[in-house]
Amino acid sequence: MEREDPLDPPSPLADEPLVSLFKRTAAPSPPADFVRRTMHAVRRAPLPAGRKPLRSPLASLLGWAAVIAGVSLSALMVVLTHPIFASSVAALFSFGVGYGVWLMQFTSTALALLDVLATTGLAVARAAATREGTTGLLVMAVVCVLSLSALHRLLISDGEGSQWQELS
Amino acid sequence: MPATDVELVRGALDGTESAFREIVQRYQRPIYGLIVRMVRDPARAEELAQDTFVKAFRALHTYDVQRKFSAWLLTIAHHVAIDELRKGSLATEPLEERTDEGVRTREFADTAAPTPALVAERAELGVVLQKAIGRLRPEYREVVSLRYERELDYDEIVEITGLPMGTVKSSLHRARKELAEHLESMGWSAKTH
Repeated sequence: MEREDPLDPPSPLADEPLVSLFKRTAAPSPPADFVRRTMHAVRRAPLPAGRKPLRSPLASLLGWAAVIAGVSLSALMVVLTHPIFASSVAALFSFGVGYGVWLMQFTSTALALLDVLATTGLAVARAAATREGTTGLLVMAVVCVLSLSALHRLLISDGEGSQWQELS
Repeated sequence: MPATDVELVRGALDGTESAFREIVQRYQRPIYGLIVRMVRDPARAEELAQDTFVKAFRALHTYDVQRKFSAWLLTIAHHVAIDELRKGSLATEPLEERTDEGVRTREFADTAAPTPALVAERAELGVVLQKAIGRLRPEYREVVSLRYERELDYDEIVEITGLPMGTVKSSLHRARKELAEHLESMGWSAKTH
């Protein structure tokens, strides 16, 4: 506990209320760019011997990227100077290019097919929404089923070979 | 989970910039707050606070992890501000005009809900308190700031200022008394609820 000077009259401001008084007021704060400017000054400050200077995360990242790129380039140069490795790398490269081209063609064809299917599906859905369209689709379906049935009977008839079988 | 002060110190010693940046971010307000209370010049206080962090970084390898880091940093700030005051380049007690209105006295309300009137009153109280602290002697301003703004105990104030315990206690007692008188003269009742 704090002992007050017996010669002085007691202070009208007590200890704890002063703490709450200060809490209710805004404490002074430095300008918004204080941290940036302080870090700039800190980076430029000379350091005692044996102390590591500060390094920024970006510089560290760039350093690692440069090391990896250097090692990769050196490895590539070493590999390319040997004929066996060079032919293997060339084969791998040509395979990669060929496979890449095939993959691109396959993807574009698949996308085109999907587009056709989507357009057909949309057209059928729109047609089915009207009475005339529904009737037309039903007629088409019936005709289709009948045609398939007739074709089936023609190809696989009991007791006799089909024309196709005779031809083959 | 935020890193501890000791972890940040170790990171900064290892050269990790983000670790020391975190230290500056964490302690910019206490350091600047203490210095500006002592020197009473915001622009100069900013330079001195910056100087404090530079000195702290240069001396970081001397920091004893057994000590409280905030106390170590505030000790550096104390020395930086004291050196500046000793240079005599700053007016230590530029007394504002006294507003001895006499008739208008208000008491410090302590209401939890911040009504617009209360917010305005707090802003005004902040200005008044700032003026009242400004009228104190620099050594009183420092102990008041450490005790009531930073809420440090007497042992920590002794550690930071290097003053004997008795001096810290008597300084605080006299500072409180003077503060009450100044607040009274500016129309604020020193009575607190």
